[in-house]
Amino acid sequence: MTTGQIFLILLAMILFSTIYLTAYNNLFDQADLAYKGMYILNGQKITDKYFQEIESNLLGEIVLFDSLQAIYNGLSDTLTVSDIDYHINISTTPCTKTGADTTTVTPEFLRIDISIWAIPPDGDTLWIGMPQFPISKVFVDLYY
Amino acid sequence: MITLLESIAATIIGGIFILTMITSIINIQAVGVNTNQQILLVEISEDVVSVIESYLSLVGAGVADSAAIISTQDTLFSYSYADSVGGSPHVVNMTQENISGAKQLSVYADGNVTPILGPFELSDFGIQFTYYDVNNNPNPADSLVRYVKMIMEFQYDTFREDIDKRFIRHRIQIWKYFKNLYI
Repeated sequence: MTTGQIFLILLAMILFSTIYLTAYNNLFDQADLAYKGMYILNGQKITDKYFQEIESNLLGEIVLFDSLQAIYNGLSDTLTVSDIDYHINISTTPCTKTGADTTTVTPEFLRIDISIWAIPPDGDTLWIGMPQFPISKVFVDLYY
Repeated sequence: MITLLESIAATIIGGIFILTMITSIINIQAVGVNTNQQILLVEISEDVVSVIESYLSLVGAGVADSAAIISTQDTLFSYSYADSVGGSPHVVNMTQENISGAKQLSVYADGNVTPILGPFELSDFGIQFTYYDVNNNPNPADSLVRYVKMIMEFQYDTFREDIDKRFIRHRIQIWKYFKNLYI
């Protein structure tokens, strides 16, 4: 076998390996995306839990609307789902139909913002609703 | 002699290379199939959970609070609701069953033996209900239950049993507040 032939074989192996590495990389990216989607779904269920809690407590008049800010603004909590800790941060903003309104003492509407972060097994921090772009829901004072 | 040795060496190296190629192709296929199965399982199980949540939304509708919750067990939740206030109550059982040695999730209504939802294959974990009262205390008396935490793990077999043999699993944890009991 000549040196030229050996180099050609080596070149073919390198090219073929590149194709395999690319295929593997794409597959693992796809798998990573699928698993991240699962963690995001878990995070969304946690936000839904808090929104349900607020709605139910308001319906049952267990918590007064005017107390929501004192209870939930700045609240931090941690819930474990499938052995992963989800760190929850909640903030509240009094608002009207035109937007945030911090001047009213007893607002009619209150926006609840939730952002969650978790560290999945791959080690990268995963945000579900970032502080700048939280998952939000507006609640109204039924007895305003 | 040197030519013969070169031929043998080339055959061995070529053989190893071809074997590596074949193994890689099979692995890529197995990983790809498992990923697709995982995505499919997530889609299906999330749909199932949406339907379960719609059933749980009915807890206590149209019936007295004291009659809303019938049984609260780790793997069985039984409740009642009525289509209208004072109407004849329906009884719903959400339960984990063992069918052919596998755990399954089924929902039964009004004592019928045919489930209205399911059965859906679960992993060895199965389902787990935890009940809470209005102050977030777990495992209260039935009449004091106001919301439930439901954990379930769905399972799907892999497409190829000879390669990368493992079960595809998706664990879902939901909380459902029974708003009818808060009103």
